[in-house]
Amino acid sequence: MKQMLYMRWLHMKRQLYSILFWLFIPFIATVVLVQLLDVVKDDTSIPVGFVIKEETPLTLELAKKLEEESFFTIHLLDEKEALNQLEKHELDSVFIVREGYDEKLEKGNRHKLIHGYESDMSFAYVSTIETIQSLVQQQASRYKAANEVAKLYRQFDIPIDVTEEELIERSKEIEAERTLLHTSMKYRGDEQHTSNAASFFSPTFIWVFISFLTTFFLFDWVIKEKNAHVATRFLFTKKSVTTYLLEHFILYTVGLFMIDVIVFFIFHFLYNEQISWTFFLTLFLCRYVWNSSAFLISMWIKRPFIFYLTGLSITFVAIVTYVIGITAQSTWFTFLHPMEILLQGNYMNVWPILNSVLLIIIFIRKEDSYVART
Amino acid sequence: MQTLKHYFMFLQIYVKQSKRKWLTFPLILLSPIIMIGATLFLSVQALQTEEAEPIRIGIVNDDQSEEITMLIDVLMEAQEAFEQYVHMEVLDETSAQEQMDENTLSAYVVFPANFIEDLFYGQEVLLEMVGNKQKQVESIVVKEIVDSVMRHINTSQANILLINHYAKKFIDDKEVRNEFLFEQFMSFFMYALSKDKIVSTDEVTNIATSSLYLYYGLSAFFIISTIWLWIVYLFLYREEADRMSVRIRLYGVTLTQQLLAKLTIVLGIHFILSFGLFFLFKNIFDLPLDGEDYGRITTIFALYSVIVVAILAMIEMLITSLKGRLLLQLITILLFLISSGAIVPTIYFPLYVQDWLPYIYSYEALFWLQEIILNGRLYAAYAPLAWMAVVAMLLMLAIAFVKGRRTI
Repeated sequence: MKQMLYMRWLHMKRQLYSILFWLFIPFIATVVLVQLLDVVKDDTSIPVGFVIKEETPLTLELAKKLEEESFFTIHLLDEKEALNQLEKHELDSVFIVREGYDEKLEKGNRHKLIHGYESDMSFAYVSTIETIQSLVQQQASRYKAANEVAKLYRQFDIPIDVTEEELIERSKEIEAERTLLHTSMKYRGDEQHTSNAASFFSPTFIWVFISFLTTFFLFDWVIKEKNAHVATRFLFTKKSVTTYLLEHFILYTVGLFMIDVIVFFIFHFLYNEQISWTFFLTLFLCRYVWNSSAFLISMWIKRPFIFYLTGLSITFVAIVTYVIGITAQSTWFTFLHPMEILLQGNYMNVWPILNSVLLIIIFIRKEDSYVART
Repeated sequence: MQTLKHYFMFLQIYVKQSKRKWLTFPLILLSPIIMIGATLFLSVQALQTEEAEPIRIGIVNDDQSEEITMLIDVLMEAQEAFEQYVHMEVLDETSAQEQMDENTLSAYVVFPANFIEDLFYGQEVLLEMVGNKQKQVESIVVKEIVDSVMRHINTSQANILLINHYAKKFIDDKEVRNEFLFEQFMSFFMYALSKDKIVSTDEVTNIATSSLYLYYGLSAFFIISTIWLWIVYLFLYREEADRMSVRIRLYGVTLTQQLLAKLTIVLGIHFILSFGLFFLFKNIFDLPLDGEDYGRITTIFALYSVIVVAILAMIEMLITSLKGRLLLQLITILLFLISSGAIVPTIYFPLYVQDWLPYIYSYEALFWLQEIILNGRLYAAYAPLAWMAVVAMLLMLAIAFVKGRRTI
């Protein structure tokens, strides 16, 4: 054991900075990317064309409210210009507020107040419409409330001593003062509430893929050491090259897992990522799958350059298929995708089994090499 | 004269090298196409499965009042409109948890005790949602739905509080007033749920993108050809080249000559490939292009490719570590592809990013390609791209010059 560690140290000493860099880049890159995505996510805007046929207090209020919603950028245009821009896909969608908006709303008639145009390239039409509808709804229900109050007065035969405007103002005040209804979300099995539940790109998600790539970049030692001139000398010792490589593969797995654990403790404090015993178990399984995959691939590739490229392509495919696959929910996908283990907590995965079988085969086959044969 | 001789000699070396590998080459080139194909295939699959199974939501009711039961009844009726996507069910907490462990339930919502009463008298209410960890995406969708329903309840509540304020004047009996308020609340809530008729919808087809596929086809062409350029560039990389080139330089061949020879070959192979791809693209979409259009497209595409190659070469010269080089090249290519708008249209970018886009070569290139091919423009401004190409080449040559002096 001591010898093994010493040997590894001798190997690492020569390229210490490079190894340290690749060990910690997943963590550093994750922190940077999470920060960056946070900023970009808040500033992403959907360009919406807004056409007001008749400028009235209520329509202007509607436009202002919509502008306040952080996701939209409102362009006030005339109808022709707006539709023209929509056709050129300079706008995501166009909404036309029809004439007589105020009168209809005050009467409680909400039918077709606004006409929306979407193009065949609109990404966000449905969510824009949802927002606009709820804003209009807000205005409409204020008038409904005012009407109800007036009805009450009438019912009890008392002359009305408040004006409609006052009631509307009062309703706005109440709504601004108290948002009394809150929702919270947590996952079953978790103690705490997840603060950023509504994000696919959690720190863990980003870390998983960068870490996967760097695992390949770190495992070039296998190629370098199995092709080294000294490798032939193993034939004269008790140990075979394969045993040596396997031992150091285990060493790497334990070492990297320890770093992973530390990283997730930091993530826990930074982003409130959940950690538990079962989580660390999945993390270990995941680490084992990555390392064994990198190890197995490195066993039959001769040039480091090709190995890096292989790692790069595999990571790329993994990201693309994962991003698409999350929506797919098919069972064979969760069974096949290596990242499912950590990201969704599915143990039932083909890779741990397959890799273990291959590792065992390699280990049994090793006795094959004798001095005389080479 | 000597320079040209060296240049041509290296051209020959690189041609020989690419001939030697030409069998594996098509396979590598196919990889981006396979990836994009797989992407499309999977997305089609994803859309199909989504329709097949509705998301199952459990509703746990801890408030045993009569009113909440009615509210839930209304919710149940309202769900009929989107039965394909969402399926709601009233459950008690233990059975909800059991079903979640069996992975048949995506999420459940708990209405706390005294929910309705707190709502009417302005007490703070917390609605808790519990998601299924094995169905995180669906849980997030449910959270969105719950938030949307809650927004309606919130608005209804504000108005109920207003009515309550005046109702106190007229109705003294608390029981009667509660009943009255609940009636009001339900009517407001149903009013909110039926908001769908506010907006009527029309669809406009984009003038240029008479088919949406053409737009995405052009983006795909842009992405594939850019990735190909990188692949071709990597393809001509030799691990022993670094050591060799030092030795070659001892014979008086400069780094610049070697570099230019390599870039010429890379661009040459790239143009042949891209021409084939573009031809395919043109035939699929049956584009009406004339000679002048081809001239414009070629110019823009050539300028773009030169800049990409110059940047790749700069990274190669500046970073000695092989892994670091690959990673940085990958990041650069990705960044420029994203900022070109080939992946997500640029109109959705943050505004301050949009202000800077005209200074980015990939955006400029894709923009003019779109103008020519999609919008049928008979004009293209080459100047910005040309200047960027000149700057990139000069920068690259300067680095090659400095580096060539240093290492010997």
